[in-house]
Amino acid sequence: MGGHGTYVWSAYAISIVVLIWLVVAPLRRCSKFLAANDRRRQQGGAK
Amino acid sequence: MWQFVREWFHRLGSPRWFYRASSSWLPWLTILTGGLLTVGLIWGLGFAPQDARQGNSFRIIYIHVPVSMLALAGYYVMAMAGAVALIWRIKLAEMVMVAAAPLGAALTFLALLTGAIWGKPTWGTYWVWDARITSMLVLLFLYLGVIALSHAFTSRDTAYRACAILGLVGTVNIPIIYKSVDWWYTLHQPATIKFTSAPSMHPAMLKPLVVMILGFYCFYALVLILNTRAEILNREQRTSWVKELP
Repeated sequence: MGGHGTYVWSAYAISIVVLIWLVVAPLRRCSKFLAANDRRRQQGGAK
Repeated sequence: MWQFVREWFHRLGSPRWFYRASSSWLPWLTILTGGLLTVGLIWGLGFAPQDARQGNSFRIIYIHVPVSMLALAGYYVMAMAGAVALIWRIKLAEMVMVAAAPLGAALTFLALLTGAIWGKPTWGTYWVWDARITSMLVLLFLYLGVIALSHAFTSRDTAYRACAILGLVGTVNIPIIYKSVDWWYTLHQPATIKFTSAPSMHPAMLKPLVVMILGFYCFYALVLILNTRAEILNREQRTSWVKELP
Protein backbone atom coordinates (compact mmCIF):
# COMPACT_ATOMS: atom_id res chain seq x y z
CA MET A 1 0.00 0.00 0.00
CA GLY A 2 2.98 2.30 -0.54
CA GLY A 3 3.60 3.29 3.09
CA HIS A 4 -0.06 3.99 3.70
CA GLY A 5 -0.96 0.42 4.64
CA THR A 6 -1.22 1.08 8.37
CA TYR A 7 -3.70 3.91 7.82
CA VAL A 8 -5.83 2.08 5.28
CA TRP A 9 -5.94 -1.26 7.09
CA SER A 10 -6.56 0.23 10.52
CA ALA A 11 -9.45 2.35 9.14
CA TYR A 12 -10.98 -0.71 7.48
CA ALA A 13 -10.38 -3.03 10.45
CA ILE A 14 -11.97 -0.70 13.01
CA SER A 15 -14.90 0.02 10.67
CA ILE A 16 -15.58 -3.66 10.04
CA VAL A 17 -15.52 -4.40 13.80
CA VAL A 18 -18.01 -1.59 14.47
CA LEU A 19 -20.29 -2.66 11.58
CA ILE A 20 -20.34 -6.28 12.78
CA TRP A 21 -21.09 -5.11 16.31
CA LEU A 22 -24.00 -3.01 14.98
CA VAL A 23 -25.59 -6.12 13.46
CA VAL A 24 -24.79 -8.53 16.31
CA ALA A 25 -25.92 -6.30 19.21
CA PRO A 26 -29.67 -6.12 18.31
CA LEU A 27 -29.70 -9.79 17.27
CA ARG A 28 -28.33 -10.77 20.68
CA ARG A 29 -30.83 -8.51 22.42
CA CYS A 30 -33.68 -10.21 20.53
CA SER A 31 -32.49 -13.76 21.10
CA LYS A 32 -31.87 -13.12 24.82
CA PHE A 33 -35.36 -11.68 25.15
CA LEU A 34 -36.98 -14.57 23.30
CA ALA A 35 -35.10 -17.12 25.43
CA ALA A 36 -36.30 -15.39 28.61
CA ASN A 37 -39.80 -15.21 27.12
CA ASP A 38 -39.72 -18.95 26.50
CA ARG A 39 -38.63 -19.65 30.09
CA ARG A 40 -41.38 -17.45 31.46
CA ARG A 41 -43.97 -19.25 29.35
CA GLN A 42 -42.77 -22.68 30.47
CA GLN A 43 -42.88 -21.62 34.12
CA GLY A 44 -46.36 -20.23 33.56
CA GLY A 45 -47.47 -23.46 31.85
CA ALA A 46 -46.12 -25.67 34.68
CA LYS A 47 -48.31 -24.01 37.28
CA MET B 1 -58.93 5.10 -1.76
CA TRP B 2 -58.79 7.16 1.45
CA GLN B 3 -59.93 4.09 3.37
CA PHE B 4 -57.06 2.10 1.88
CA VAL B 5 -54.48 4.75 2.79
CA ARG B 6 -55.79 4.90 6.36
CA GLU B 7 -55.76 1.16 6.72
CA TRP B 8 -52.22 0.98 5.39
CA PHE B 9 -51.14 3.74 7.75
CA HIS B 10 -52.64 1.92 10.70
CA ARG B 11 -51.02 -1.36 9.75
CA LEU B 12 -47.62 0.23 9.27
CA GLY B 13 -47.99 1.94 12.62
CA SER B 14 -48.62 -1.36 14.36
CA PRO B 15 -45.49 -2.82 15.98
CA ARG B 16 -46.94 -6.29 15.69
CA TRP B 17 -47.46 -6.01 11.93
CA PHE B 18 -43.97 -4.54 11.52
CA TYR B 19 -42.35 -7.33 13.54
CA ARG B 20 -44.06 -10.02 11.45
CA ALA B 21 -43.50 -8.32 8.09
CA SER B 22 -39.86 -7.45 8.70
CA SER B 23 -39.06 -11.13 9.39
CA SER B 24 -39.60 -11.82 5.71
CA TRP B 25 -37.62 -8.75 4.54
CA LEU B 26 -34.53 -9.50 6.60
CA PRO B 27 -33.05 -12.44 4.61
CA TRP B 28 -33.26 -10.50 1.32
CA LEU B 29 -31.87 -7.35 2.83
CA THR B 30 -29.00 -9.29 4.42
CA ILE B 31 -28.07 -10.92 1.11
CA LEU B 32 -28.27 -7.59 -0.74
CA THR B 33 -26.19 -5.76 1.89
CA GLY B 34 -23.57 -8.51 2.11
CA GLY B 35 -23.31 -8.75 -1.68
CA LEU B 36 -22.97 -5.01 -2.32
CA LEU B 37 -20.47 -4.44 0.50
CA THR B 38 -18.32 -7.43 -0.50
CA VAL B 39 -18.21 -6.37 -4.17
CA GLY B 40 -17.56 -2.72 -3.24
CA LEU B 41 -14.84 -3.63 -0.75
CA ILE B 42 -12.92 -5.93 -3.11
CA TRP B 43 -13.34 -3.50 -6.01
CA GLY B 44 -12.28 -0.47 -3.97
CA LEU B 45 -9.35 -2.10 -2.19
CA GLY B 46 -8.08 -4.35 -4.97
CA PHE B 47 -9.01 -2.98 -8.36
CA ALA B 48 -9.57 0.78 -8.19
CA PRO B 49 -6.47 2.65 -9.37
CA GLN B 50 -4.19 4.54 -6.97
CA ASP B 51 -4.68 8.26 -6.56
CA ALA B 52 -1.98 10.30 -8.29
CA ARG B 53 -1.31 12.51 -5.27
CA GLN B 54 -2.64 10.60 -2.28
CA GLY B 55 -1.45 7.13 -3.29
CA ASN B 56 -3.30 4.36 -1.54
CA SER B 57 -4.51 6.34 1.44
CA PHE B 58 -7.43 7.58 -0.68
CA ARG B 59 -8.94 4.09 -0.42
CA ILE B 60 -10.29 5.13 2.98
CA ILE B 61 -12.86 7.05 0.88
CA TYR B 62 -14.80 3.81 0.33
CA ILE B 63 -15.66 3.73 4.03
CA HIS B 64 -15.45 7.41 4.94
CA VAL B 65 -17.85 8.83 2.35
CA PRO B 66 -20.68 6.26 2.65
CA VAL B 67 -20.47 6.28 6.45
CA SER B 68 -20.59 10.09 6.58
CA MET B 69 -23.52 10.23 4.15
CA LEU B 70 -25.49 7.76 6.25
CA ALA B 71 -24.58 9.55 9.47
CA LEU B 72 -26.27 12.66 8.05
CA ALA B 73 -29.18 10.92 6.29
CA GLY B 74 -29.73 8.86 9.43
CA TYR B 75 -30.24 12.01 11.43
CA TYR B 76 -33.13 12.97 9.16
CA VAL B 77 -34.59 9.50 9.60
CA MET B 78 -34.41 9.92 13.38
CA ALA B 79 -35.79 13.46 13.35
CA MET B 80 -38.65 12.59 10.97
CA ALA B 81 -39.59 9.56 13.06
CA GLY B 82 -39.52 11.91 16.06
CA ALA B 83 -41.82 14.38 14.27
CA VAL B 84 -44.28 11.63 13.34
CA ALA B 85 -44.19 10.39 16.94
CA LEU B 86 -44.86 13.87 18.29
CA ILE B 87 -47.66 14.74 15.88
CA TRP B 88 -49.57 11.47 15.46
CA ARG B 89 -48.36 9.61 18.57
CA ILE B 90 -47.57 6.53 16.50
CA LYS B 91 -45.80 3.95 18.68
CA LEU B 92 -43.75 2.47 15.87
CA ALA B 93 -42.33 5.91 15.00
CA GLU B 94 -41.13 6.32 18.59
CA MET B 95 -39.39 2.96 18.37
CA VAL B 96 -37.77 3.79 15.02
CA MET B 97 -36.49 7.07 16.49
CA VAL B 98 -34.89 5.32 19.46
CA ALA B 99 -33.52 2.60 17.15
CA ALA B 100 -31.90 5.16 14.82
CA ALA B 101 -29.92 6.94 17.54
CA PRO B 102 -27.21 4.36 18.40
CA LEU B 103 -26.84 3.45 14.72
CA GLY B 104 -26.34 7.10 13.78
CA ALA B 105 -23.91 7.62 16.64
CA ALA B 106 -21.81 4.64 15.54
CA LEU B 107 -21.74 5.86 11.93
CA THR B 108 -20.80 9.40 12.96
CA PHE B 109 -18.04 7.99 15.16
CA LEU B 110 -16.75 5.98 12.19
CA ALA B 111 -16.92 9.05 9.92
CA LEU B 112 -14.81 11.04 12.40
CA LEU B 113 -12.40 8.18 13.02
CA THR B 114 -11.79 7.25 9.36
CA GLY B 115 -11.51 10.95 8.58
CA ALA B 116 -8.87 11.37 11.29
CA ILE B 117 -6.90 8.36 10.05
CA TRP B 118 -7.12 9.66 6.48
CA GLY B 119 -6.14 13.15 7.63
CA LYS B 120 -2.78 12.05 8.99
CA PRO B 121 -1.11 11.05 5.68
CA THR B 122 -3.05 13.67 3.66
CA TRP B 123 -3.10 16.81 5.81
CA GLY B 124 -0.35 15.86 8.26
CA THR B 125 -2.70 15.92 11.26
CA TYR B 126 -5.33 13.70 12.80
CA TRP B 127 -7.54 16.51 13.98
CA VAL B 128 -8.24 20.18 13.32
CA TRP B 129 -11.03 22.28 14.76
CA ASP B 130 -12.38 23.33 11.40
CA ALA B 131 -16.01 23.84 10.41
CA ARG B 132 -16.76 20.44 8.85
CA ILE B 133 -15.08 18.36 11.51
CA THR B 134 -16.41 20.34 14.45
CA SER B 135 -19.98 20.30 13.13
CA MET B 136 -19.66 16.52 12.67
CA LEU B 137 -18.56 16.27 16.30
CA VAL B 138 -21.67 18.25 17.29
CA LEU B 139 -23.71 15.68 15.33
CA LEU B 140 -22.14 12.90 17.42
CA PHE B 141 -23.10 14.74 20.61
CA LEU B 142 -26.67 15.20 19.33
CA TYR B 143 -26.98 11.46 18.75
CA LEU B 144 -25.46 10.74 22.16
CA GLY B 145 -27.88 13.27 23.68
CA VAL B 146 -30.86 11.43 22.21
CA ILE B 147 -29.53 8.10 23.53
CA ALA B 148 -28.98 9.61 26.98
CA LEU B 149 -32.46 11.21 27.02
CA SER B 150 -34.12 7.94 26.04
CA HIS B 151 -32.81 6.42 29.29
CA ALA B 152 -33.20 9.51 31.46
CA PHE B 153 -36.90 9.39 32.38
CA THR B 154 -38.95 6.89 34.32
CA SER B 155 -41.93 7.73 32.11
CA ARG B 156 -41.47 6.33 28.65
CA ASP B 157 -43.75 8.89 27.03
CA THR B 158 -41.77 11.79 28.46
CA ALA B 159 -38.53 10.18 27.31
CA TYR B 160 -39.80 9.76 23.75
CA ARG B 161 -41.09 13.32 23.65
CA ALA B 162 -37.79 14.72 24.92
CA CYS B 163 -35.85 12.68 22.35
CA ALA B 164 -38.12 13.83 19.53
CA ILE B 165 -37.73 17.49 20.49
CA LEU B 166 -33.95 17.28 20.76
CA GLY B 167 -33.86 15.41 17.45
CA LEU B 168 -35.94 18.07 15.71
CA VAL B 169 -33.99 20.99 17.14
CA GLY B 170 -30.74 19.29 16.10
CA THR B 171 -31.74 19.16 12.42
CA VAL B 172 -30.47 22.73 12.14
CA ASN B 173 -26.97 21.24 12.30
CA ILE B 174 -27.40 19.10 9.18
CA PRO B 175 -27.41 21.85 6.51
CA ILE B 176 -24.54 23.48 8.40
CA ILE B 177 -22.50 20.29 8.03
CA TYR B 178 -23.39 20.00 4.33
CA LYS B 179 -22.53 23.61 3.61
CA SER B 180 -19.59 24.00 6.01
CA VAL B 181 -17.08 23.25 3.27
CA ASP B 182 -18.50 26.03 1.11
CA TRP B 183 -19.25 28.66 3.76
CA TRP B 184 -15.93 28.53 5.59
CA TYR B 185 -12.37 28.06 4.54
CA THR B 186 -11.72 24.54 5.81
CA LEU B 187 -9.07 21.88 5.43
CA HIS B 188 -11.78 19.49 4.31
CA GLN B 189 -12.38 19.39 0.57
CA PRO B 190 -15.77 20.36 -0.94
CA ALA B 191 -18.20 17.63 -2.02
CA THR B 192 -16.99 15.31 -4.79
CA ILE B 193 -20.40 13.96 -5.73
CA LYS B 194 -23.14 16.51 -6.34
CA PHE B 195 -26.65 16.38 -7.69
CA THR B 196 -26.15 19.54 -9.70
CA SER B 197 -22.95 18.75 -11.61
CA ALA B 198 -20.80 15.85 -12.78
CA PRO B 199 -18.63 14.23 -10.08
CA SER B 200 -15.02 15.40 -9.95
CA MET B 201 -13.75 11.87 -9.73
CA HIS B 202 -12.53 9.33 -12.29
CA PRO B 203 -15.18 6.68 -13.13
CA ALA B 204 -12.74 3.88 -12.22
CA MET B 205 -12.68 5.23 -8.66
CA LEU B 206 -16.29 6.40 -8.60
CA LYS B 207 -17.98 3.12 -9.55
CA PRO B 208 -16.83 1.14 -6.49
CA LEU B 209 -17.77 4.15 -4.35
CA VAL B 210 -21.32 4.09 -5.72
CA VAL B 211 -21.53 0.35 -4.95
CA MET B 212 -20.32 1.00 -1.40
CA ILE B 213 -22.82 3.84 -0.92
CA LEU B 214 -25.69 1.60 -2.06
CA GLY B 215 -24.38 -1.17 0.18
CA PHE B 216 -24.28 1.16 3.16
CA TYR B 217 -27.84 2.36 2.52
CA CYS B 218 -28.96 -1.29 2.64
CA PHE B 219 -26.83 -1.82 5.74
CA TYR B 220 -28.49 1.15 7.39
CA ALA B 221 -31.96 -0.19 6.61
CA LEU B 222 -30.96 -3.63 7.89
CA VAL B 223 -29.60 -2.42 11.22
CA LEU B 224 -32.46 0.04 11.67
CA ILE B 225 -34.96 -2.81 11.26
CA LEU B 226 -32.97 -5.05 13.66
CA ASN B 227 -32.80 -2.29 16.29
CA THR B 228 -36.50 -1.52 15.86
CA ARG B 229 -37.38 -5.20 16.35
CA ALA B 230 -35.33 -5.31 19.56
CA GLU B 231 -37.07 -2.14 20.74
CA ILE B 232 -40.50 -3.59 19.87
CA LEU B 233 -39.84 -6.70 21.96
CA ASN B 234 -38.63 -4.58 24.85
CA ARG B 235 -41.56 -2.20 24.77
CA GLU B 236 -44.33 -4.67 23.96
CA GLN B 237 -43.16 -7.41 26.33
CA ARG B 238 -46.38 -7.36 28.31
CA THR B 239 -48.65 -7.84 25.29
CA SER B 240 -50.02 -11.27 24.52
CA TRP B 241 -48.62 -11.47 21.00
CA VAL B 242 -45.05 -11.00 22.26
CA LYS B 243 -45.58 -13.52 25.05
CA GLU B 244 -46.67 -16.06 22.44
CA LEU B 245 -43.64 -15.55 20.19
CA PRO B 246 -41.66 -18.76 19.67
